[in-house]
Amino acid sequence: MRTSRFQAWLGIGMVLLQGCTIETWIDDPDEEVRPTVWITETIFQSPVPQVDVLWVVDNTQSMVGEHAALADAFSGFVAVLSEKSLAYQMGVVTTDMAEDAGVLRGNPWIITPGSSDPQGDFQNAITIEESSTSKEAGIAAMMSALSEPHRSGANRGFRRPEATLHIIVVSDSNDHSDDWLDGNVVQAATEFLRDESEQSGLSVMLSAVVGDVPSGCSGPAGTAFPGARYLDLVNETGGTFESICASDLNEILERFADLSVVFPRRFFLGQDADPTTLRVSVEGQVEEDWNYDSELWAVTLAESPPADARIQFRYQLQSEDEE
Amino acid sequence: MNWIWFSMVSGSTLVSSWDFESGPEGFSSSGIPDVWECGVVRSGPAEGSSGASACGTGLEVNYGNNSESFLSFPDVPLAALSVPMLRWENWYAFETGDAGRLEAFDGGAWQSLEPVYGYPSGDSFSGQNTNWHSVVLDLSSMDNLNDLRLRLSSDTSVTDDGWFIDSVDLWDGDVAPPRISGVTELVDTDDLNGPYSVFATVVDNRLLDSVELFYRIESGPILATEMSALGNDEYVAEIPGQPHDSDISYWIVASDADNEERYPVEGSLDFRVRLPAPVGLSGPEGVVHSARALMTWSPPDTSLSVVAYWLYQADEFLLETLGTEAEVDLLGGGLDRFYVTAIYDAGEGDASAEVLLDSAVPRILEVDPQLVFQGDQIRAELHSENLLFVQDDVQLNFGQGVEVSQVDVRDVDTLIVRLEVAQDAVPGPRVVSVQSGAFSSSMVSAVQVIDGKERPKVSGLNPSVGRQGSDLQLEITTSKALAGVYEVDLGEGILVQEIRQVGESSIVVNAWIEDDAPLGERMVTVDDGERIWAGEFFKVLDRSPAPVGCAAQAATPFSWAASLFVLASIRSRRRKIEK
Repeated sequence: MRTSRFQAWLGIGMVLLQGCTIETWIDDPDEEVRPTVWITETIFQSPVPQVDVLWVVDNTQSMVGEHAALADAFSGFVAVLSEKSLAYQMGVVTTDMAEDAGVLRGNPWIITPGSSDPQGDFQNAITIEESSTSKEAGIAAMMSALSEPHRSGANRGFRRPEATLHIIVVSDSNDHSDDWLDGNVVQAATEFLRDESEQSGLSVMLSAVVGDVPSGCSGPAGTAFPGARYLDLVNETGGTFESICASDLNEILERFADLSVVFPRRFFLGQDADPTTLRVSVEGQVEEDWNYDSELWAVTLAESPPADARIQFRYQLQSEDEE
Repeated sequence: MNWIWFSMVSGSTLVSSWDFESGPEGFSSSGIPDVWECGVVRSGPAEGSSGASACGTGLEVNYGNNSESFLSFPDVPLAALSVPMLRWENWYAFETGDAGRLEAFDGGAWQSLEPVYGYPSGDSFSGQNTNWHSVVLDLSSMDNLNDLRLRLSSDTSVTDDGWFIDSVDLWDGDVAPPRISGVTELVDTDDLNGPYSVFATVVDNRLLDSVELFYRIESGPILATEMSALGNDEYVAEIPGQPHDSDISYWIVASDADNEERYPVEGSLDFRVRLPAPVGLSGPEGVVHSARALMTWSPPDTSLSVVAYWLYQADEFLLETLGTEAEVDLLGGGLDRFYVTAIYDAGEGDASAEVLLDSAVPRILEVDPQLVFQGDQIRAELHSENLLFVQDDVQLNFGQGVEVSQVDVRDVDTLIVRLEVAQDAVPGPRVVSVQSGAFSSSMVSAVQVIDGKERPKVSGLNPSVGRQGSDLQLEITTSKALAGVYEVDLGEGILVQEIRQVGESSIVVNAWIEDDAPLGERMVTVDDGERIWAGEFFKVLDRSPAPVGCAAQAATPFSWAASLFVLASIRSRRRKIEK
């Protein structure tokens, strides 16, 4: 109240000297003062987008030739990720649910840019001492790797909350996860990956290097059965399908690496914003195309801001009544 | 083609020789069916012992069933020879029930004949010996070589490659060396006293001159000792006791007047005098995700007393223990190779079989930067392996006076941490410890706190004051070069709109001071991505008079006078309120 009176005196003084109307900015001395709190939050887009790459590799006897080609092509994959300065994490699971059951293989079992020999680590992870005799269950293995108890147990640290997820299946067979998953396997996997994406607010995609659909194929390393289920998941998640019978695996993996570069577009605020007051700007440019999730206090932009972009959120708090 | 010549070898003379490179060379075959052939070999050994040709029971196919087939030798009178002996190279593969025999004609009938020292077993060549090997025959009872023949007998079913001979030599003189068999094969021993007895059975078709045992300790000189006859063709000699860790090789040489035989023919027999190693060394199975592991083993199989065990890691001595287990620190990186030895009164014994653990040791690798100043606010990267960082599940301790105000997980191995170093933090090296879920690690001297006098800081602001409700263009200078500009914080109520780096140590900030920005001084901070720079204060003043017409207007003497009037009015009003 004391402030209001002070402002009133200040305004009168100005009127006397400058002759300017004051209605628009002088406070009413009798009005109850209710301070308006504006919050400005600045968030910088990650300078290095994070991506978690889960390789699901068929480890049956017929895949021995493909393993060698995959190991050779892996260096190109890593080179692309490194060139784009991605903060990547990679892990390998096999399609063998009876033995490996979705536990990441190798030591280290999570390959990062800090790994001294990523290609050697990857080769170690895909090297199979004894070929699997179990049915190829790549979808079940993928879901097991990303679910509890492995997620915070044996595979602890692989999935990061601010990383996109790119699953890459390499198999010369279709998926046979029926013994491990109830009902429609593709539908279950689609819902699983959708939940994974919703939890992180980041893209989750599955790409597959499998046999052509519907007839399978023959290539340098042998014959492949059609990977119909994997293709369905590729289509559901926006991934990429490549034929395992194609001769140039190097080129395929480099394309997959390009696909892995995805910047976040969801940002969490420190307070629950009143969306009617929320203003979003990227590098000083006002953004109109966004939506606000009042449960998560998160703003999701239509497009991902580029690396290091300054993203500013100015808003008033959500009133208690509306909460 | 056969040659007739006279060549002396160890007192024996070569009289005639046949190599079948030009055909049968006087050999002839007979029988039903007649299977013997001489020429280029394409079945069985696929070639002769010297050259491509030999005589055999079928040069391209197996011998036949129900066969009694003969190979007769050429007409060579033997009467002029004092010690007629025949030697040839032999190769055979007979099916069970089939066999090869030597026969001699005694003037009335063909009689069975045995080679010198007999057949390998029984009364014939049977089974298989598919390496070319020498056979020696004493022809003293014959007048002519054509009194000798080879006989193949096969049963009614199943055949094999058959019988082949090559390099047939007729000698005048003893060409049969002594035969050595039944040699003791000594095994590794923990008997340091010895002696180590070597037995052998040695026979000769005529008369033995000597039987000697040769032996060698490590790569020392070759020593020899005469073997003593025990009767029944048995001989023995002793190698004296040796210190532990001695590799001993030995062989036997037996001689008659014309020939010498060595056993083994090439190389030697070997044994080792050693103090035995512990057995069953083992550690955790699979990937060992820990900084420590328990290694266990069993005592060595010996009657000697073990006084201690020494455990080695990566070929370096690690520890001594009296028991059969030890908790060890793991090194990772393929260095967790272990072996264990037993220590005896006589010294250290042999190493056990090596065990390699597939270890994933949680540890801090580096903190970057390593040097922090008193009063610093800085971002540091902590690099590690196998600590498996997960956001919000990491605890860090940099010691007293160094607070961790923010932790971001970049990946499982990398943390980005914001450190706030107190002005009075004790200078010196710090131990940094990390707890990540169930894994922990610490690192000595990971960072070092140094005197804050040289700390990089904000050294100037221009202007250093601003009013509520006004735009602000602020130039900030720093004492050292900035790494870049990540963020500038001018405190509550001042909204940063634009930041431009205009020099290595200089930036310009455009901002808006809100109407209700708190009055007074606030610390200005510049975050260049590595360090939070501070050191100067910016002061927010009360809002300034509104410009005429609510539009931007240059200050005039008149407006300054008006402002002074307002200030006077405020002071006057304040006094009234206070009263």
